[in-house]
Amino acid sequence: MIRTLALICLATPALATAAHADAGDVIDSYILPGVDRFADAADALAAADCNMPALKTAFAETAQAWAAISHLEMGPIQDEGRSRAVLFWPDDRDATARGLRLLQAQGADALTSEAMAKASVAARGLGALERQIFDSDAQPCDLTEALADDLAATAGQIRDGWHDDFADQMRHPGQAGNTRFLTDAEVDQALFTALMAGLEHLSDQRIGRPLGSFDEPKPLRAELRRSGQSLPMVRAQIAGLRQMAAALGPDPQTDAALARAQDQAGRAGDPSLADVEDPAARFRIEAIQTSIREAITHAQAELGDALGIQAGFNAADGD
Amino acid sequence: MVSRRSFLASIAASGAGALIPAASWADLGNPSFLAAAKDRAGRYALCGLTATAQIAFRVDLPDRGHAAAAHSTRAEAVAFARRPGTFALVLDCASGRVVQRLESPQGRHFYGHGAYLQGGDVLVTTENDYATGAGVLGIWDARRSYTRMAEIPTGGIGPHEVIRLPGTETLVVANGGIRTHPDSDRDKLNLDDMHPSLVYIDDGHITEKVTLPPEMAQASIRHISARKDGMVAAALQWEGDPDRVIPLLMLHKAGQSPRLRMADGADQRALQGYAGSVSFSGDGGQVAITGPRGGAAHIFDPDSEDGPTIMRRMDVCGVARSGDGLAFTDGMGGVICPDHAAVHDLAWDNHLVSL
Repeated sequence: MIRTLALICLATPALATAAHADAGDVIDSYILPGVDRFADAADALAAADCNMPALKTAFAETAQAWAAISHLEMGPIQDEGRSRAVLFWPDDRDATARGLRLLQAQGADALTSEAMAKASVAARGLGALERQIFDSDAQPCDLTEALADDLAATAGQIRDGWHDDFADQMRHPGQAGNTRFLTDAEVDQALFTALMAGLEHLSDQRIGRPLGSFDEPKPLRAELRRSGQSLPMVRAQIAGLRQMAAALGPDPQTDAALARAQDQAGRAGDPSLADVEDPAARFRIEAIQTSIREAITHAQAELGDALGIQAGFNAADGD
Repeated sequence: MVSRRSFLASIAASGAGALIPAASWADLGNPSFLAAAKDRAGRYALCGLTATAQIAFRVDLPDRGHAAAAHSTRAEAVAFARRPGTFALVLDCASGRVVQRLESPQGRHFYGHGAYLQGGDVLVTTENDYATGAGVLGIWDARRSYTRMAEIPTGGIGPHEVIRLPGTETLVVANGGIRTHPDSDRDKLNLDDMHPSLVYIDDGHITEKVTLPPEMAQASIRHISARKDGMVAAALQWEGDPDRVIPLLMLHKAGQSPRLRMADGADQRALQGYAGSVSFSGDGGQVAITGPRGGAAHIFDPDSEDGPTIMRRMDVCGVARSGDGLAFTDGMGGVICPDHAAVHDLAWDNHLVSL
């Protein structure tokens, strides 16, 4: 077992003198406000009772607040599998519909906060709430409220986890008992890995899945398409990634590519990305993807190579 | 009949292995582990690591390595290409020289793991007979320039890791159950019809085959570790419905039913159905699985039914015994041994192999 990490050696002294990314700035200017915004939005969703206009407004804000931070797959968002409890997507087998049917069949006992926390993640979070609000007029109301309360609880755990513990672990790597982060360089690396994974997820999943191929577009694969949040979430994530990259270090070309992507996403049409089948509209969506891919190349050079940070790679593949 | 090529190879090998006294692991600063890595320039290497988390040596690799098998006495290691690789390199870790390049026979590819038998005289490798999908073990003569001696069926599809039970010549093979074909790269061709198994092989014959309950047929049995008393631990990778939360650690003793172990709901869910590596601790009192997707290692007491202790590290994947305890490596460059930890300017690949 891991005893006290009495001795932490910086194996490569060069790392200590290399230019540093500004992790503190990333945490203060981007992450903490981002988790606050998400938790506040989820609270508003839980407070909307079953009032449809209030639910729809709060749902949109929660989905976008989530998209802006969803790539922070570490610590409070990663622990206990919370990211998937917030949004189970992609869901090619329609596990969300199946899970919701099961929850309803189980009756009131399944709707306590303890029972919800143990339910299938496919039946929880934004995907399940979207079905309730946009396909079922929020009925039955007790189910909608239980889902919203559960999401607000998860969002609160993410916010509190960052404020009360994880931000400090990132700010003070190598302290006794902190096996998560041993050195400053490793903190930079964790943030850079999240940035790169976010850019790739945006390009290949959020945008790439509905795009499919030219001969076979897949509009039904768009994320949260029933509520028309697919495109707003793309916009929200671009904005979040742009802010995160700028806080990490000097990134003029990355920033320019993301500004271009933001502009292109602003001009794209259908909020549910249903127009991927229309060649002209499709072209506009592909342009966003192209800009994101350029941002990936630039971020590797400007932030990865220049600051001497390498992204981790086991989590992204497998064998 | 000796072909010109293998004759030349045998001269080369005898030069390194027989005529000149071969370096021992002690000559290389007593490394405790081997691990494949990628550096910032995108180059791949095999490194020896010490029990104090330092790098003892580094040997460059031409491509991404998966796992390595270490010779028990000579400072020699076989580095396997990632599946579906068709080559493995026998490396002299003292000089960094490639002593020999093993090519998988026609119609076979390596799966990325292997083990030495008989005091290092014999190497076994997991392979795919990809025309039929049948799993085989390749048997190579390490005394005679790694000539191919024989093949043994593994009784399943997709044999991934092979290990030797400590103190015996019994082999244990994890048949992952997933069929692949080199024409379709790493695509998985039979996810709806998987039959993973753990098999014990003595003297070329399967003596026991262990399977999971039918509802867990889509749990690929991929990586294994054994304790001195013969208990085997297997790390699983779930290929089924992504919203199901299933155990990822199987424990087995010959002749008994397998036991499955897991954490409480939310901590288990965090692993996302994927355990990357598994190892018993040096004293056998602990067994760990790593979850790179969950950023956590779950450390169990194999002899109780208690839930695990959780160690959280981003991208943690490699695990091996270290002294009485366990050591971990991760894609962020971290090496965490029982009393020492260091971060290197490398990304450690999937596995950590103890010497």
